[in-house]
Amino acid sequence: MKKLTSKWEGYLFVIPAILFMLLLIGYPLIYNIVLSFQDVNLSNLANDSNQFVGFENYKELANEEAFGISVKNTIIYTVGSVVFQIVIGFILALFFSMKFRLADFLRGFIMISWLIPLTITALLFKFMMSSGVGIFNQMLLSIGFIDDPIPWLSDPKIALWGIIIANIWVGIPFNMLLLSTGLSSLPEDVYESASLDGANWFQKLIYITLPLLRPVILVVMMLGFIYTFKVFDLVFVMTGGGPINSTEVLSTLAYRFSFNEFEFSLGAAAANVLFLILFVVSLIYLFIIRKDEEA
Amino acid sequence: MSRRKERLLNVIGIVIVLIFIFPVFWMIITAFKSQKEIFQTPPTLWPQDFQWSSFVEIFQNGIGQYFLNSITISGLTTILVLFLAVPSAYGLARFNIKGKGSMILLFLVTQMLPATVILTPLFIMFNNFSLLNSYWGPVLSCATLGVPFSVLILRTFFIGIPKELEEAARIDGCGRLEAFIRVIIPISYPSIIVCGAISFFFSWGDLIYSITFNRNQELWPLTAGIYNAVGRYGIEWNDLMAFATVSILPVIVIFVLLQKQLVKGLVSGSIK
Amino acid sequence: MSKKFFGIVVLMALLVLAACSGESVTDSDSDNNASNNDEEEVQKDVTVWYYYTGKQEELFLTAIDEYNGAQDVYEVKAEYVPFPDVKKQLSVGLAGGTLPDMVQMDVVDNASFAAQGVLEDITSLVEEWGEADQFYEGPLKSVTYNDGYYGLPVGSNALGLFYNVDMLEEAGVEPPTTWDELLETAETLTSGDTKGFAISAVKSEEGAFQYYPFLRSSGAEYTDLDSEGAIGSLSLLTQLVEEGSMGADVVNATQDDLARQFAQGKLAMMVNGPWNIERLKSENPDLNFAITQIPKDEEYASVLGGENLAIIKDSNVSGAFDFLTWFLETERTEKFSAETGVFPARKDALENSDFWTNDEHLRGFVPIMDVADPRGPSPEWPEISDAIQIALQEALTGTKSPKEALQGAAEKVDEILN
Repeated sequence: MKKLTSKWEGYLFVIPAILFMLLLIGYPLIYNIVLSFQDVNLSNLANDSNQFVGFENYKELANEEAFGISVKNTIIYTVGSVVFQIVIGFILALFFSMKFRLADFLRGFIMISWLIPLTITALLFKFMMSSGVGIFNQMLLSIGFIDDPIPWLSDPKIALWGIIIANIWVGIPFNMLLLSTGLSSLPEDVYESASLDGANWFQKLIYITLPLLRPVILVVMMLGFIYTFKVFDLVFVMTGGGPINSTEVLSTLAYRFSFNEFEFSLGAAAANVLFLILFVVSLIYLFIIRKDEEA
Repeated sequence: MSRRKERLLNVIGIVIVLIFIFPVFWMIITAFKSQKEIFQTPPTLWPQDFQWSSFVEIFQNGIGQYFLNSITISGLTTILVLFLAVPSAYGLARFNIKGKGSMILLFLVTQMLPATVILTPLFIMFNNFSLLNSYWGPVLSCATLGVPFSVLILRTFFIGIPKELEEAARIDGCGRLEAFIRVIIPISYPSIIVCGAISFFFSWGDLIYSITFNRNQELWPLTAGIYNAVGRYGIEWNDLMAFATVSILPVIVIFVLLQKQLVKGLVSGSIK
Repeated sequence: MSKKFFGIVVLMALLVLAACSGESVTDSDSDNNASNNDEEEVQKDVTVWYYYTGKQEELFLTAIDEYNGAQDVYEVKAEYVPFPDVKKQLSVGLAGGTLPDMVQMDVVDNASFAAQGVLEDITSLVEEWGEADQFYEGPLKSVTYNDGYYGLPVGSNALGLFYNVDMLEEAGVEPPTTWDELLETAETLTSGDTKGFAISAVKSEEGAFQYYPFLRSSGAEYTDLDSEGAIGSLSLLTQLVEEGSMGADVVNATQDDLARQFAQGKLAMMVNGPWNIERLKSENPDLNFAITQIPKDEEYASVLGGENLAIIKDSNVSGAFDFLTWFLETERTEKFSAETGVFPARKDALENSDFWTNDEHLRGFVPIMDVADPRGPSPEWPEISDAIQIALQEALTGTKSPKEALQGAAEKVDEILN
């Protein structure tokens, strides 16, 4: 790699954003870590001198039945959402990258699902998924796809997938947009020479498009993972974590501990577990891109 | 492309879009229905009794101010995000600075806490700096989502721009910063617009920061207005959907306009 | 290298932390000094957080204007906080040191806020005032913690059985009064997508609230959730779902959702509260409905809801209490309650007026108010409530039998209370 100039210039470009993030998020981050090692509730929330209780909160958390369930739910929810979002987003990005007349116009329409505030989307899907008048069941029944209405959000075995469906719908545009932008920056000459070599559409996809898009796909996946993992609004509005604990995720659990039961330290501990998992995933991502960039 | 294929693609495209935006259609259609018709089985795909009363209702409840606030908050956030993120992404993409990995990690890490757990510490901090009850609370907090996002996305795109371009500019006597402003930014225009748009919509959907940091209802955005309406009317579906429709229509307009520019940018700006 | 950098990052963040907390200490110190100085004169401003909406909000703000105009000593300032956000806002405000002087809160939360030392003990002020015996026992119990008063109730409600008169007449049945009759009537009234009966069994406080009348009617309490009576009450609800007279999606239906379905004739009977009466009338003016006691097992029972105004500890207590007692003067609370269609918490206000006994719908609630119990009161209520919500949902979704579900809940409650 050829260095363009002295290093201090680079810092000048980078530092403002770093400082901004450190100022705004560094404090909350440390605040939560400190909180999770104390025993803070409403009565001592405003005090500065709280006792250090070691890993007590984490132990208590591990003993909570809802904790294990919410970790599992968060993972299923995230993986389920991200996989479908990327696959569908990618298919749509490929489709609209074919230069037909209405492509750009129609692609704009797909973006709409992402522009609706999440609270509204949650209410909308709850409305459409209700077992009585819900349009989803009505449609599926009328085309004979199902015989009985699906209890989308009221069956503990299905409810999480009901929310995942809503989230996939929300996330597709984001994935499609970034992947489209990525696709448009791919060099055309590679495709041309591949065509000359007699490669078909599928071969070009596997051997050219996917490898070239790898960095974009990785970053999209990573961001999708982070945004989905800390989901809150959608679950909170659609089911509130129920039925039973079947849709409880880490962020709703942390919220419930902190603002419903006023166990702020327990809430902070749950949030830190969420953070830790994401942190590990980020390290893996960093490792991959470092290898990529060295290669 | 043959005409037949072209026509086929258009038709498939239309079908995909129709299926995909069905929930939006349902939302808008519901806003025009009477409460009675909403509960009718089988449901009607088009209102039998087309009525505007839900829209009249919500306009009487002062949606205008909410709307202006949403624009202000989202606009300020977008400017702040781009101002911070574009240079930063460039720095991380172009310079071989020490601790680059840690910095990228930092950007990833900073967006990992759910909004609900950073509320309290941010509140304490904003209170200390007297930033409560102003646009700055939601703007700064929303920017904490947009900045890392844009840095990571833009960095990936900057890496793809050939260095020769800047070198050529520097040979012509441009300074580092000048080369960045005159060469890099115009080339990356589409990506920057995408990041700006995404940051805009991040804060467009914000609810929790505004209602926590601002007691003053005159600063509340549209989402807070909807949230309020939910409590106020116990959610009549048609009113709620009317509110939702009004809150996304302008954004869709902005987006459709932007889409054109975005595509133009993509075509003219992409460097082979 | 990167480790070193991360070290620096953490260090910087720590500095930020130190800077902020340092500042907050000095800030609150100077605040305290300032308020100490002020007290010699009398603090004028009284900030109150309220969550009233619609007509109630309008009348509440009018009352505040009237109060501010009627005297010069205090100036009440009202700030709106959406109902679902009250607890969160109080927590955040407490951490940030920006609490109001008075706050409106749900009756069920009063005890836990009192126990955590957020609220001022106003026992001596209330005794001096001498009108506490004019309040209904239930609401008054909700502001009591450790034999002290931590607020005053400003409005009450309870749950009753709403039924669609036309549908019952058409089917030739009377409103049910016992659990057996409920099962029978609900089945008769169910046809197609119209369900005979519903409660809200959603996973939130609403679910626990709605289940409480059934629990209490069996004679059980939240402290003996694994008793015969409690199991019987949950079995009843489970049976209703199994027989199809109550939709399985009640585990996701809020009380508002029920009201919406009821207004459109998709529900023949539901458990709901008086705050939804106006709404039913406006949503469907042709709806012919009435309200009666929730069917009973051992005895008629209901659950008390409503709101209190509580005063924040070490705030402008005298100002807040002055406004509170002014707002609660018999005639004022009678007028406020009647005009907004809710129940006053004062007996004399209710007895003075024939509004409630004459109102076509509200009169159904008059006998219900007499049998309404508050939930708890317990400072641990949020956790107890969570255990109840889970048991309710486990049974209604068929995940566990009512007995197993309640045994689990009883164990959790034992653990919480000991």
